[in-house]
Amino acid sequence: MIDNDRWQLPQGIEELLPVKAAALEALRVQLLGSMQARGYRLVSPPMIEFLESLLTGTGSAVERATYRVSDSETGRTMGVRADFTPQVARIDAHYLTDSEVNRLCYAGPVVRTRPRTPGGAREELQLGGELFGIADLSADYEVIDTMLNLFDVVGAKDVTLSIGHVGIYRELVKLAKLDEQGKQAILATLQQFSIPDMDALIEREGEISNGDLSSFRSLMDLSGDVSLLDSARAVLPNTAEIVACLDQLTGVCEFVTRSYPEVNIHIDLANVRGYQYHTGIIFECLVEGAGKALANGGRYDAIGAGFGRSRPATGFSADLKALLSLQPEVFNQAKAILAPSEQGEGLRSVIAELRSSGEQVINRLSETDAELCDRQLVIKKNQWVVELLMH
Amino acid sequence: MITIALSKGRIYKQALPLLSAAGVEPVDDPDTSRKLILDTNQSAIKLVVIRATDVPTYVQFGAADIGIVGKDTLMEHNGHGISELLDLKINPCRLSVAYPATASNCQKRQLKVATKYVNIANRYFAAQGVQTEIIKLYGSMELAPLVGLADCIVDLVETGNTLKANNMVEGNIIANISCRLIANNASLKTQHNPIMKLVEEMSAAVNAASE
Repeated sequence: MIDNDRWQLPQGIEELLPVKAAALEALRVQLLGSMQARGYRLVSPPMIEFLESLLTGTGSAVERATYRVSDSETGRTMGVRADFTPQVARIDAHYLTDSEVNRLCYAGPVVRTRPRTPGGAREELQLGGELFGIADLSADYEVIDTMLNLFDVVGAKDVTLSIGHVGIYRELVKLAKLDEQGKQAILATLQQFSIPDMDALIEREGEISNGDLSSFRSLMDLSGDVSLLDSARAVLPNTAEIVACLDQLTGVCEFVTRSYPEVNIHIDLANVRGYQYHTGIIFECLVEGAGKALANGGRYDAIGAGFGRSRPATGFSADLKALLSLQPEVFNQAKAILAPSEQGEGLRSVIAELRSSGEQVINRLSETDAELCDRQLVIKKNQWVVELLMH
Repeated sequence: MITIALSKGRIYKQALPLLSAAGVEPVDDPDTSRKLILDTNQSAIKLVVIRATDVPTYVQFGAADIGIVGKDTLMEHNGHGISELLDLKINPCRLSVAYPATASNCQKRQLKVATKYVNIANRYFAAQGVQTEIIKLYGSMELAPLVGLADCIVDLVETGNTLKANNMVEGNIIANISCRLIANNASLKTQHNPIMKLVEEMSAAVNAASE
């Protein structure tokens, strides 16, 4: 038994050991590179900042997830970021005001007071991209394209894109003339996605609404393949707003079918995730067997207003560690070159040349150093040469 | 591949006809087999037989794609990432507050509550504006008020006979309980068609049984 627990990390906090850490870093560079190739410029907001700006435009879920510390300098409360989006929106609204369109990407840790799922991570490595300044569907297309491309880069198979639209839920709430309590009840039932609870709620519909709640129940059946959009047109109230939302969804489906024919499209009109700040198309990317969405995003046109510049915006983020898990596991391979620890001028320049050509050269300080190497530097006829190292 | 999680015993026995209606017949019997993963007549469907309280956890993490579990267990678990698709109408009962018949009522603003449903009791009494001290017990809740351990209990009530035998009465009903068919949200999207086929066939069987 180990008699001290100083090595122990808190629940949901993880550290990566050599092989995996290197694989993760390589993936981070690769995925950021693929976004930069599309014109997404890298930003690096701080890990900690004043709480008010960190929580601007976000929902109560982000607020509860944010760790707070007191700033002894100003007496104000600072928060540790639980999400990048408000920070990136602040950068767009406050600093990058010259350009009409801003494409920004980022990768870094976010910390949550509670994991999204019990037993899940409280620290995630979030990687994402945000596109500001375009209100029409072309931005939604581009952001979905950028996200799906990451799954291509990772080499993911059997990718499912689930698409919804918070505008439909908002319109139904308006039509149903719900009071505050009714709104909460409907929202909670949709969030928990309980069909039996929704049926029970509709049975006592007179208590919470003057309108018709059956459309909310219909929403819960509107989950499935693309053909559901036709059913939705037949079942949902035929208002201009709902027709517009469904038209947008049809547009996204056509775009994805064209650009990523191998991606399965799933329509989920009952999805109200992040409805407090999302304003349009929302989406999630899933891979069979993962048990949860690996990336998600959507439109959030209102968030910039809190920073003094209301901007159309859409974007996505992914958990980098979850994306890493889609790749085949890498094993520790001995592939370095072992060099004697006593090095004269000649050897030093040979080593420097090898290193600058991308080779790993390890100075032999201990016996175990040899285990990381498959070759070694030896002197032959007054020349340093690399030869195979037999273990 | 679809994995269905459910618990041994009563729920398993009552769920069998519903699964059978959906064309799923287990090859092994959990009472005689020591296997934890049971094969079925369909190679793409497996059953895992586990403790009832673990069913939502398996489904939430995607270790099982769908599950059969009591609404009480589901409410107590209160996790995200799970969809509740169907009321199977198995084991109907109520989750209620109960208190000794001799007590005037459970109307105090501060209560000691004995229950195994700590989260549900917490949420329920908080919504009523009642300050509580929740005492977690694992069985024989009715004993707690009798020996002065608690003012009232939160527990499942089916016939009310146990309460009566211990001179207790049923107060407010917190929720109507029955078994539910649940699914992992991600599985519901990635394997929508096979899961919905099961749901529709089980739904038809539930409706036929209740007519």
